[in-house]
Amino acid sequence: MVMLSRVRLAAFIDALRRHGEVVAPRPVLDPQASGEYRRYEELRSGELPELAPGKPALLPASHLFLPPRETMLSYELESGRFTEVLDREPRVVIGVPPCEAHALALLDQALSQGVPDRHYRARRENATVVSLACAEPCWEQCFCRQMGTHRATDGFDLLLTPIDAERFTVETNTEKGDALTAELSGVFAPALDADRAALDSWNVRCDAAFGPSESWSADPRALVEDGADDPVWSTEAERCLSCGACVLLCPTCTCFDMVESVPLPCSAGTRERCRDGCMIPGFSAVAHGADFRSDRAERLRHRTRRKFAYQPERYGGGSYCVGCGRCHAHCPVDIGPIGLLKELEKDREEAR
Amino acid sequence: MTQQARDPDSWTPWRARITETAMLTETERFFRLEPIDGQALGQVPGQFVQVCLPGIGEAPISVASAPNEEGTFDLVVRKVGNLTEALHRTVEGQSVGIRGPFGRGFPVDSCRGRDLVIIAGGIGLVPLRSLIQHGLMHRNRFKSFSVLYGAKRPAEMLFKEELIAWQGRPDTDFHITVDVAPSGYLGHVGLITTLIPYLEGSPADTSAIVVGPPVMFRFVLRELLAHGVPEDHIWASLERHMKCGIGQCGHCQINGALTCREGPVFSAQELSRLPEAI
Ligand SMILES: Cc1cc2nc3c(=O)[nH]c(=O)nc-3n(C[C@H](O)[C@H](O)[C@H](O)COP(=O)(O)OP(=O)(O)OC[C@H]3O[C@@H](n4cnc5c(N)ncnc54)[C@H](O)[C@@H]3O)c2cc1C
Ligand code: SF4
Ligand code: SF4
Ligand code: FES
Repeated sequence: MVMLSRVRLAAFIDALRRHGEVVAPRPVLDPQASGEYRRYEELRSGELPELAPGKPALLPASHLFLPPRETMLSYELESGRFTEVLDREPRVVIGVPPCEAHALALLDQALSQGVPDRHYRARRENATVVSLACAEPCWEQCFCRQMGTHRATDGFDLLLTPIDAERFTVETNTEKGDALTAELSGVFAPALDADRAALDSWNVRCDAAFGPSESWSADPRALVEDGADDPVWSTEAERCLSCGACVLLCPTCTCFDMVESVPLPCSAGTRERCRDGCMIPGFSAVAHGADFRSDRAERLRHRTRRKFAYQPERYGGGSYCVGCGRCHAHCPVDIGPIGLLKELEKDREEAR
Repeated sequence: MTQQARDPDSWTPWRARITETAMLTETERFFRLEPIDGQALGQVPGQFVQVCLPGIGEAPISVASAPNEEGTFDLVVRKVGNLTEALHRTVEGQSVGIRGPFGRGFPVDSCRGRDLVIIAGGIGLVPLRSLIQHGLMHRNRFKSFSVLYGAKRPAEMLFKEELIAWQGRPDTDFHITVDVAPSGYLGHVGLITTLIPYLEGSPADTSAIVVGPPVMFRFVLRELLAHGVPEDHIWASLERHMKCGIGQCGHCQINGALTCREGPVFSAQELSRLPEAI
């Protein structure tokens, strides 16, 4: 562990720029939406990241590695020759909150199994992730404490914790993080025993601010597995507009569609993947009109079970929901995983 | 067109030339394809490929033939939308992009030494043709060999000449039925399920492989179980929306199972644990 003083932040960012474009959540004023939100964008020259608490960015950091739309292949129509397009652009992402770092760790795990997702991995392997610890819940919709993701334990190279107004502790989690710490020794200061003690008590205060872990004893996987026929799916899905906001904003949703793009003069084109999701009607439709999850309740149940049962079972690890609260916050009709889990738990208690 | 090395983990298709085509019905076109790199497809009967035309799109299509000496493979495409219509407009000599073969095919090994029953409904005959060809090439691997094929009406029957040839073989038992027939039709008329009680071989030693519309599967499954065929020896191939074929896009998921990886062929026993399947 080493120390980074806020006055050295500019030097730190300059040094990071040697490892690729530096991306951080930046405030964006959107006249069409409800005011300001944050978006991961490249820092302008001389600009420093906020590194301050705030609402999570509209789109999570994982979308930098699995963008909403990306080119997989390019081709020439005449020769029929295809070329794989891999984005190996080096990037440094700074200010990634713990839940989103956990989401990266989950995707790293899932997308390297079976047929590995090369396009994700090419970006990911060339990226450096600097996480920023959260001192308290960043907005009312998050439930990372219940998902066990409020403290960064995986999915980052460096972790910054603002132990006091002037300084961050810098912890490393990977070889890349170790190398960076060594390389930037001129920017960092050594950590003293007092700093370590300060970090320990910061973490204790952090746990307390997120609420006691005992407030949530249920095992989400058992709840969704046993609750296949629970009425909550249809009572909640009754309101669902099938807009897809939940799946399009989620840091661990990965489903996609493929589209062709052939701009004029139509001599060459690209095959692109676009984010898609199981809450969107037609996602499971086949020719001749059959749709295997045509009902909103079936779709809501499928999405929830994917997060808490199917993905953990297939790829290992805990829940594939990291409790960021995006889906709930942006759902126009107030549907969210924690509400569903609580209803399932209530129904189970009542059935006892 | 240029030749590109195959790489099973990438999205890059390799190319196959159309060497032969034929209209089988008004909406179904047959294609024989020859890989340009000269390397055989290497499919297991029941697997599928992703077929693409650059600029138009890609779709999962079942392989309709067993591996052969020429190294060619067959597809049958029903015209339903973008890509399938464009495939109907292609000409012999043109080439298409191929990825695959993908998925778990029919359990040809676990059927060895058993009475094999193949039940095809409508376009389900297409993937089953690969199994029928395989079975006829290796006839001695199975005890009895029966095929039940049901089409809506005689005009929708696929592979009519092959059906006649198959029916003529003394070592196999072929039955064809249609739901409705014009007057003067001489063949069997009636639902495919009515043929099941008269199957050759012993039910306990039977492996039954069923491909057809979901409703047909439900009735056939009930009839096969009643006949005494064990649940873990009844197999079906399922159709789902598939965008990748490699377990990434999520479209084909049935409960926790990815149809493109764990399927498209599942046993009835496996399906009983996948309530969303049928
Ligand atoms: C394992 C498998 C094997 C198949 N084998 C054959 C075959 O041997 N012959 C054959 O003609 N068809 C087969 N199909 C169906 C075929 O894939 C679809 O008809 C085809 O994708 C439609 O593409 P399109 O561009 O022509 O249609 P579109 O214009 O894209 O859409 C037309 C209709 O097809 C459905 N559809 C679109 N994309 C897919 C997709 N990726 N998967 C399934 N349905 C889709 C749409 O929901 C829509 O209802 C198979 C499908 C699967 C999953
Ligand atoms: S399911 Fe909702 S709360 Fe959970 S990770 Fe996805 S967007 Fe965040
Ligand atoms: S955001 Fe809400 S309304 Fe929209 S699809 Fe998801 S659950 Fe349904
Ligand atoms: S077809 Fe994409 S996951 Fe199965």
